[in-house]
This record gives sequence, structure tokens and C-alpha cells, in this order.
Amino acid sequence: MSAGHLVIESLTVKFPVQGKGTLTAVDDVSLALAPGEILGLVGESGCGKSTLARAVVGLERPAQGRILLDGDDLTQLKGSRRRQLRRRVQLVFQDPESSLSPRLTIGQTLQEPLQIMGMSDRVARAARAAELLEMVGLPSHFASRSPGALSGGQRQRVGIARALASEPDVLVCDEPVSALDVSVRAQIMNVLLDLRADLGVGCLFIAHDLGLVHQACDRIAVMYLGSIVEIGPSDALYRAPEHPYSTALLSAVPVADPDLERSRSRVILTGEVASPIDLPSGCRFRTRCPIGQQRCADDAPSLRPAGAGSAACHFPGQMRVELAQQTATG
Amino acid sequence: MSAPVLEAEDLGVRLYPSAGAVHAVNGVSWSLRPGRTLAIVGESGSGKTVMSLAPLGLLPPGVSSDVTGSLKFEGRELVGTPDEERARVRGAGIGFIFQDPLSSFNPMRRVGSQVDEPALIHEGLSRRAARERAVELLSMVGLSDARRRIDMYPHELSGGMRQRAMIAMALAASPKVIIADEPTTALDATVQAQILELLMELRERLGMALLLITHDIGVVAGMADDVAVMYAGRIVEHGPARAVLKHPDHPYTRGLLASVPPPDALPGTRFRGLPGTPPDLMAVTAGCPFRERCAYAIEPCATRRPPLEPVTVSRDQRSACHVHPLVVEHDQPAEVAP
Repeated sequence: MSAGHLVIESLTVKFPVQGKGTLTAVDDVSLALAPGEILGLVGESGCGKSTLARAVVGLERPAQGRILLDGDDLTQLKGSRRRQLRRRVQLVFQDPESSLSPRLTIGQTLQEPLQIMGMSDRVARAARAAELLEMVGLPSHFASRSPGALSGGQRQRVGIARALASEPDVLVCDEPVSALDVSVRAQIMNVLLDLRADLGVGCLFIAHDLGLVHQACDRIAVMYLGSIVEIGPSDALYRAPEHPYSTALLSAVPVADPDLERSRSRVILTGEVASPIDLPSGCRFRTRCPIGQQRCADDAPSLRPAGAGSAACHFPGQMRVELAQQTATG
Repeated sequence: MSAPVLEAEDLGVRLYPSAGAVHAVNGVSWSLRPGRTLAIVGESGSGKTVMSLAPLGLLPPGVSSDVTGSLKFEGRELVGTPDEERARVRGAGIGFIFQDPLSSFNPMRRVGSQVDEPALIHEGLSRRAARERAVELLSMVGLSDARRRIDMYPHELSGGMRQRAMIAMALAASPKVIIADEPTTALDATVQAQILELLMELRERLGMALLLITHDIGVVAGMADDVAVMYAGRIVEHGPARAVLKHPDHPYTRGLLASVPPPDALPGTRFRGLPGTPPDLMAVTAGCPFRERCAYAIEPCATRRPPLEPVTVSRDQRSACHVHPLVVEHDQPAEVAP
């Protein structure tokens, strides 16, 4: 039986803002993660991707919606059943520097969740900690070290090892490599790919580096102002984005090839992201959209099949076609 | 060819943290001509920022350092020059753009008064003229509604607007050189694209030279004429950006470039990168500092530090490697090294 089917249904997370009403950080988001799937979630700061991640692991209380793990609603469960299920979805933080206690050795950090889970035998705990270190490619003698003696990449490996302690089916990784040096990022990404291959651990992978997400993920979801504007197979979305925001985002990311980088056209967005407290009518991207029309202000587009995935746009693919023409005509 | 506007020769920086000394920058030489962009690429601890800030007296207060060698601005020596004189040269000739615009502004003062300060000091403008200059500068960097925004506080602007305001501040004294330290790293991709476009346009229009310090190879690919790759405080490869990015010689440059997922990557495939971690500068060893992470290392790499020397098969490209993989591949195309 394959376990770890995570379904997010119409999830909404709101925050009160003093004197200004309510900020809708995540607005009616539905996503499904198949067992062992790596699903990328991209978007810019403030789009709600981290809030979504926190809600999935139970750190934010949704205003509405369900989070189902193999059919059980994580938002409704109580007591020991809740604790039991929660263990199966674990968070890996962005900053390995601040997410590990400087007062604990690596071994203690890894043994803590084991103790909470009721593993009372000290020897068994130490053995399990060594095993966890090995899973993320660290030698077992690292257990006696303190976080300060580790490099950033090694600390992030420990962060992943800690998340693995409770044998989760799903890891929610919030920008796990953004704080790391470029040459070290690949090592951590390979740890995640290996965990999926060896243990079948799925991953909701939040990042802003589209090149990285493209290579790591099976599917990509693009978030803008609290909602998913496009979702589709990784390669299809990366090569042929349907939504104008995905198109702009992809065209904005510089590529390492100087010939390619200097010959291609970009969609340079103007204006600022609309306020999540006071959303515009219709499509929420229309205030910055280069191809927006009256219809976009009157009628909010919902996610509909477009290309190999789905996009929330009245004119899917149009921005991509215009950009290709611009590049072709120089 | 015009004379360099900024030129480093055998530049070295020692830092003195709480215990011991770190040779953060060692024997670095480069030159920057008017209207050109030189990118300094490296990871954390490579010395790229220290190299650019220490000789100009811009390390954070409390960091004690020792600078050797030479850094000349329009032929005037800056290393060993009294602080006051150095500040004058710097203020009138060199503009700075830092990674984090929020911490580069005084939160208590309005944006306009900070943007026009250099003009006030270095060009001796009156307060009213300086204010007009601030509006002009902010409009030039594409800040809409500049006349209203000069009276805002930094926190009232978005990240992208703040970065535009910082560029305006850097331009205020009409500098010959802009030193930009990770100017877009803290910004979102779509905002980064706007800011890079702006920098290119300004460089073109004002004929400034740009020293661009970055870890982002994509930014280098789009912006730089020349590139210097730093590792463990030294330049390990140096040359025209296109040559270095298309045909890197040094194994570190090769590994760094391989770490960037290529556009034609297949989803689900393993990532290429470099094994190990960057070296500890406190523990100086003999030989090549990259050898422990290097797939090409041979015996002399452990004992003899390779000098930065011309890569014989590529014009103007230099690399500090005993093996020179690019030359080996050129001579024996069939036997491609690892």
C-alpha cells in the first residue's frame, strides 16, 4: 500500500491586521501530492507559499478547508491520533543556522523527537540517530558535535535528518537550500531525491529558484497573491508556461549561458503586487498583467485545463506566444 | 584603450577576528575600464566582498583589517591613504549599491534627504538644489511619483523601490564607478529583472564602470564583460565573461557552473555540483586550496600553489591550475577528463 497521499482542499488562511481588516494569505488553495511525488511551489515573497507550508504542518490554523493525509483530515483530529498523523508530515526549515539549538549536540537534537515518540531505550535512540545521519550522508561521529562546528550544508543535512526521525511520508521543505552556497545546494537536493528513491518520501518543495525546481520536481505550482495561478508537469510548465505571471517569472530568471541570456526577451512587469488586504476585482494579477483586458477586471478566472496542466487565466498561452515573437524579431 | 578607472594590484586583506588572523584576500589583481562591467564571482568566504570594501575603508566598524598591495582610482592610490582623503575620493568618484537596501538607509530620515546627501556634500549644492537633484535622480531610476516619495521614510517603500532609491543615492555624486555587492540577491525574480535592466541602461547612458560582486552566474551571464572567479581569497580564473562561462578552465569554475541547473535538465535527475565544503581560511595549507574538492587533482596540487597564468588555448583567459583541463581537452579531444 502506498501511504502519504496528501490532499489540500480549499485551504484558506487569514490573519487579522490591526485597523485594516483581514489579510487573506492563502485563498482557497487546492493541491494534491501523490505518494513519493515532489511538488514544487514557487512564487515571490508575500505570495503565501510559506503560510501554506506552515498550515500543512499544523503551525497555522486554517480559516477554512481540509488537509487530508490518506483520507484523514489533519485539521479536525484531536489528541493522540492527531499527534500520530502529524508525525507523518514534517517541516524542513530554510535556515539551518537558527533552526538547530546551539545548546544541543547533533545527537541530542536527533534523539529529542525519538524520545517524544516514546523510544525510551537510550542505546536504541543513539543507534537510530546514527542511522538518520547516515541517511543524509553524514558520518555517525557527527552526533557528538555541536551545530556551530558544522558548515551550512551539513547543518541543513541535520535539519533533514531531524525531520526524518518520525518516519514521515511527506516533507514540507520551505526554501531548504536558499541560504546555502551554490556549489553545496546540489548536495542537499540530491539528499531529497535519494530519500524519495529509497524511502518513497514525498515532498512539497517551496523555492524561488525556478531552475532548481524544474530539475527537482515532478510538478510545479505557481502561486500569486495567495492563490495557485498555474499548475502542471515540471517540464511542460518550465518550457511552455500558460499563465502570464508564470511566463514573466520564468523570463525574469537569468540563465547561466551568456549567449542565450543576451539574446532572449523578457517580460518586465511594472507596478507593484496588489495588497492582500484589498484585492482587486476579477483576476488578482491584472494590475500588473501585460495582456490584461476588461474581462479580467469583471470576471475572476478559475483554474482550468491549459496546455499540459491548468492555469487561471482567460488568455492562457498568449503571453508566451507574444514573448517568443519578440525574441524571434529581436 | 582608455586607462583603468579602478585597478587592483597584488591586493591583500588580513582580517583579525577575536582570535588569530585570516588572510581573507591574497594577491588579487584586476582592472576596470570606463563603461565596462567586471563581475567578481565567488561563494561565501571567497573574499569577494572583503576585497571590494576593505581597501575603501568600508568594512563594518569593529572589524580590524590590514590591507596590502594597491588599489588605484584614476591613478590615485587608496591603500594606505589617510581616511579623510580616501573618503573624499570615494565620495566623489565611487558609488555603492549593497544587497540589503533596508539596512543601508537610516530608518529615521526621509528618503529624499538621504539620496541628495552626496550631492550636498560633494558638489556643494544648496539644500533646494539638492532636493531638486533628488527628485531628478529618483525619476532617473524609475521611481514613479518621485516628488511625493522623497518625503517618505525607507520602510514606506517596497523592496524594489528601496533598491531603486539606493541606486539613486549611488548616482548622486555622478560617480565614475559603481560597486554593487549582490545588488539583487534580496529581491524577487521579477523585481531583480527590473533592477538589472536599470543598471545596464544607466551604465550605457552615463558611461560608468561597474564592479559587480555576485554569486549568481545568471547575473554574470547577462551583465558582465569580464569575470574574476574567487576561491579562498584568491582569483582562480579571470577573463572575458563569455570565454570563462562557455569554456571554463579551472575545476572550481567548472564545478560552480555545473551546480546551476541547466535549462535542458530532465526533471527528477540528480544534481551536479561540488563535493565537500569551502575551505576554512583559518587553517591555511600548502598547495591548491581547491584540491580536496577537485576531481582533476594531481600530485603537485598538494604541495605547490598553482599561479594564475594564461590558458594557452583561449585569449585573455587566465587560470590558477596545474592541470588546465581546457588545454588538456583541446590537445586530446578524445580523452575528456572527469
